[in-house]
Amino acid sequence: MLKAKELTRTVRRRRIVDAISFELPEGSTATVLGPSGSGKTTLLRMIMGLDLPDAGELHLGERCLARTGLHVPPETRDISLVFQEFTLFPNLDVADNLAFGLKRPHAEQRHVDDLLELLEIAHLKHRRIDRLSGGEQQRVALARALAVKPRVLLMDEPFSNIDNMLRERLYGRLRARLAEYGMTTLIATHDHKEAFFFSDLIMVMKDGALIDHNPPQLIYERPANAWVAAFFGDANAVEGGLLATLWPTGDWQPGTRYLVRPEAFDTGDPDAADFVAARVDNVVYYGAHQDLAVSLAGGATLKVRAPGPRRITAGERVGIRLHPALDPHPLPDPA
Amino acid sequence: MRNWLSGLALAVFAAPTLFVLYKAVTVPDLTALTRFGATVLPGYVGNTLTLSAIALALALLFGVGGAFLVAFFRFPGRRLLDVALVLPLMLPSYLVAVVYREMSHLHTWSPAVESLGGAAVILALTLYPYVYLLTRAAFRRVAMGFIEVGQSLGLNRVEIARRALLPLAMPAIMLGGLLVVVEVVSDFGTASILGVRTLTTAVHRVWFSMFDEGLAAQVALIGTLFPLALVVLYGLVTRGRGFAGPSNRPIAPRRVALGRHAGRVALAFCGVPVVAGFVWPVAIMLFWAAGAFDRFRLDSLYHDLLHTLTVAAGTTVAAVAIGLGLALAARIGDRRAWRLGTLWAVSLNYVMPAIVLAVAMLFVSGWMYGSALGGWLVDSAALIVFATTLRFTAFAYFSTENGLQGVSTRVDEALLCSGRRRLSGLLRVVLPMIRGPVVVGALLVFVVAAKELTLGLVLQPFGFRSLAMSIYYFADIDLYGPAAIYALCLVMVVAYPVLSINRWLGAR
Amino acid sequence: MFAMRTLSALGLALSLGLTATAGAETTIRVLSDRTPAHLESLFKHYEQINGVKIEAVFVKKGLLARLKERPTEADLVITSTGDVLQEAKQEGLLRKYESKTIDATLAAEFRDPDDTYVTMNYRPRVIFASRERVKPGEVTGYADLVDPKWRGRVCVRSGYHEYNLSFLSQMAADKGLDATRSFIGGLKENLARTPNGNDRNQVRGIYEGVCDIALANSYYMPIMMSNPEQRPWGEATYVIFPDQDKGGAYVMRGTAGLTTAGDHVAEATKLLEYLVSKEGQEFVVNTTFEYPALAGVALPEAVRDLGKGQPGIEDGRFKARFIAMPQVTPQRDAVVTMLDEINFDSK
Repeated sequence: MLKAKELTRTVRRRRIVDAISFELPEGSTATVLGPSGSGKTTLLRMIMGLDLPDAGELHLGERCLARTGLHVPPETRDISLVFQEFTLFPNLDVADNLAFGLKRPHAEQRHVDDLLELLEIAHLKHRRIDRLSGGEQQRVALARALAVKPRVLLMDEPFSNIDNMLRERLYGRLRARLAEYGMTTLIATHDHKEAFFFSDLIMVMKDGALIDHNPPQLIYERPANAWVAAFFGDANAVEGGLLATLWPTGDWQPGTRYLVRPEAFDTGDPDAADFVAARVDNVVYYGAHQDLAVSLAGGATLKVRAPGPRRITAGERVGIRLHPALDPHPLPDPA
Repeated sequence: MRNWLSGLALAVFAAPTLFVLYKAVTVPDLTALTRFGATVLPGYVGNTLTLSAIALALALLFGVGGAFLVAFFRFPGRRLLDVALVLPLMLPSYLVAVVYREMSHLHTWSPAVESLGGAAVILALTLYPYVYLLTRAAFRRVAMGFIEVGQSLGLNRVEIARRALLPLAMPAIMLGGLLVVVEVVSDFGTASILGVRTLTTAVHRVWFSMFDEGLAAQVALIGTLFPLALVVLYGLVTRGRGFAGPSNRPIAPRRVALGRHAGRVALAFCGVPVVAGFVWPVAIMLFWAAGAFDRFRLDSLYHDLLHTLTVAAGTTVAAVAIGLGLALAARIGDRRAWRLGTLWAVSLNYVMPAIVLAVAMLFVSGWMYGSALGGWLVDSAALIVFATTLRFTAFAYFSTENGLQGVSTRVDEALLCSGRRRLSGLLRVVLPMIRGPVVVGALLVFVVAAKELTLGLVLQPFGFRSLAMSIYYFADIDLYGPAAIYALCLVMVVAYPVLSINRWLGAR
Repeated sequence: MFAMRTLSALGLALSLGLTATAGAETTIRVLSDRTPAHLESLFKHYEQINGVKIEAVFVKKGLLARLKERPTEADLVITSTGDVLQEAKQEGLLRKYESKTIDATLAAEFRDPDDTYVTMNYRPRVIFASRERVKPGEVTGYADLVDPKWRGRVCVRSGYHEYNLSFLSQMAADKGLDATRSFIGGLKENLARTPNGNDRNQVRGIYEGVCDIALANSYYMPIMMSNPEQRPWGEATYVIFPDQDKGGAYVMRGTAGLTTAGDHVAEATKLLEYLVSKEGQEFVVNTTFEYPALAGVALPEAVRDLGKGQPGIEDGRFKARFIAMPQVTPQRDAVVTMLDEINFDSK
């Protein structure tokens, strides 16, 4: 169990990390999600022990890693960090970089080879670092941190330089491997797809504060506020009164705003029963689906996701209805 | 035009070497060399190698050790030592040799230095700052990122130092070591004052006592082989690349406090070279100077000072302009052969003993002094400035080139895309980016040019005398008082540049 | 600073900031490998009385190389050993001087047979001996330096130094190469330590007890006696003029000659004449403590004290063995070869 209590770091009177608390069960995977500058990296560096918190506590299992007056040196924390800048040793080749943290590199050669295979860099084994592309360097950095099999693995934007196809192959394999090792993992990222893929728990940071933390589905469906909701994709904040007039089936409270994701709408014949007619103002085509901006008779606008195959064009009339299985939740305004 | 210009510059730089080569191969027969080889040459070679090896080992110990302690640890006196460790660079090593020689004669407790070992120690004491400066800068540049990686992989400080920091600083350490070896091999003053016969002292006597130009050129070339071999080795080991830092905004390492006992050991370790290489010799010089001050004429000091400043400043301007021009031309040309050629042409004049360059310049000046331009060259300090520029442009070039390597080629590409003319782009964008390395190169050139002796002695125009020359003249006739006054004046001239170099290269 | 003391003794301590008088148009240029202090005050005085300007450059290293490359750069060359000017003469770098005064006043042995350069002054290469450990009369000549009796008790500077090369070349011209070779070999056997330092350093070796006898030029005794730090070295030793009954002591010649430059021949000749005139000679003798080439020039007291008590020496006057320079320089290569073969400089 990795446990943080009110972890805080202030630099030049600015709170980079502001009283963050969380608990990660042993072997679980979590992501810290947030825009650039929200304090993700600093949080990871504090957990690693590279930056010192000026308040709060950090525990790993029974062991206290940091609190006022106590600072366990990073190298003895049994935690490893994959740096955003990779920071590979330019004087060593790929294999030597990987083996850098191993106590007995020769005995663990198979382990090294195995990781090279896992991350599809086996063919680069004896390549000099300055002859690698950004994505290749990133995978070496990842492999190097995995090689020492730490109890907790921290990764700072670990896939930012890796192309989409490879990334998706790696996700699955990496996830399986992390489970196999039983590693507690914390990933800092700004990509919510990555967060959904890996996480048992997602933590959302903004301006140094933890504004939401929940398992993926909860955080998507019941975000703490509109800002969090928007961070995970398009969202309609619809007033309860409007919902009630359109779809009187639900128990909508006038005066409350509800989160309705674009995919919660079905599109169909505008004149069919239980469909409401709307005019399409704009269409963005994505292949598998298309995103529509529609306006209703009363002037309200909605974002609606429609399936890809039947092309809809701007100016067209379209019928929309709320998916019966969906259960919109109230959406608080951001603080 | 651009290639034509830098090609011309390179030809001028290569000329002295070609001259020596010509002198060496056009001797009618090899009897002189064979006889030399069968009698005294092996001894000279042996002495030169041993002297270099011991001096190098000691300079690495002081330089790398000092840089390591100062860069990564906190201990009593560290702030002072950070600066103090560079001070011996201010002193002309032959006068330090005189101080130690005199002390050993006057006091039984002062160690005897008139031996190969003594010369090696004194040379190491005055030359280790090169290693110190470069290594410390490398440590600070490499810095925190790599230490953090090591820590995050579970390594302790000692392991990180051994496996990451030292290997990463290796190019800098080697470059510093190379400078030390070049200086030791081409040293004349210290060796002759302490009675050590090296290849360079042999070149001096063959050229000036035996009047045998061919043999002198041959011996000089043999002497040049050793540092040249090291240049090649340096190229091979670093494979022509420096190690760039981990991120574009490197953070200097945080220092770890040492315990009481370890702190004292560190203080002692760094204190020894500072005291032995600077404090003690300067104290003795002050003592000598005080004894001679009342019998001393300041007016000649003023002229010497003026000449020294003229030569040093002139050399600095010329060397930086040429070094910058060559480095930028090599970058634009971006041909490996061109870059290597520049490197060789520029470093050859530095690697050769100064005396070889002096004689080559004498030859050149003799060939042209009948003309108006030649007459002006010979009659002003211009010839000396020309010679020191040829010899020391290497510093400016290396420093600039090193800085340019830190500027991504993307910058050039971005400049090309911006639609500006290339030159104005270079001046407005690239130049400010490499300001640090250029300034360091300039200051280094200033310091070494101010201290240069041999070129001045051989090429001096009428009415010219530098501080270094006066020190030599007075020391030569055992007048240590005046020699010390001139030496302290020289120390004052180079003090500011040396301290600035220290600051630019990352002292706090 | 002995030179300055002498200067004031001569009453010529004229204000030093003064440059040559405004009307001075001629500039005579002098190239020299002597110690600057030995000539600068003389030049200053000459400028004052003759209204010309003298520019000098003191090239301790490579004077001949410089003269060869720029033969007309200077008008006058002054060297501390005759060997250099003899070489220069052979290279055709010197001009015949035409001076009735010099011909009339200077003895033949101080004039080059072809009138290309003159010997201004000279000094013997003498033996310094320990007052404590060497009894008067125990050492009388160069042969004693190689006597096994003094094994490990002799100090000499590097064999390749100009003074020793000139000395050994004279010996080779005088006694033959074989005799010289065995002298060099014997001297090496007797060395107390690896040759190092200048002549004074060898005398200091006696003071410090490293050796008992040393080979050095005579004027170092007065110089040491006038310097508070070095006085003890001088006081610990005495000068022995060698071979006084066997042909005399070998001498180093201080020489001067005109270069091939044609612009100021008359003025340069006048300066050359001045150097060997009575006044010039007094100047030289008093600043260098060497012996004058011109007869009738008084010796300073410090020089007159040299060799006091040695039979045949009166008022510092000794018997010199003048070997004609044309015979000396051809021996140089052979001497260097022998030094190399014997590896004289390494102990």
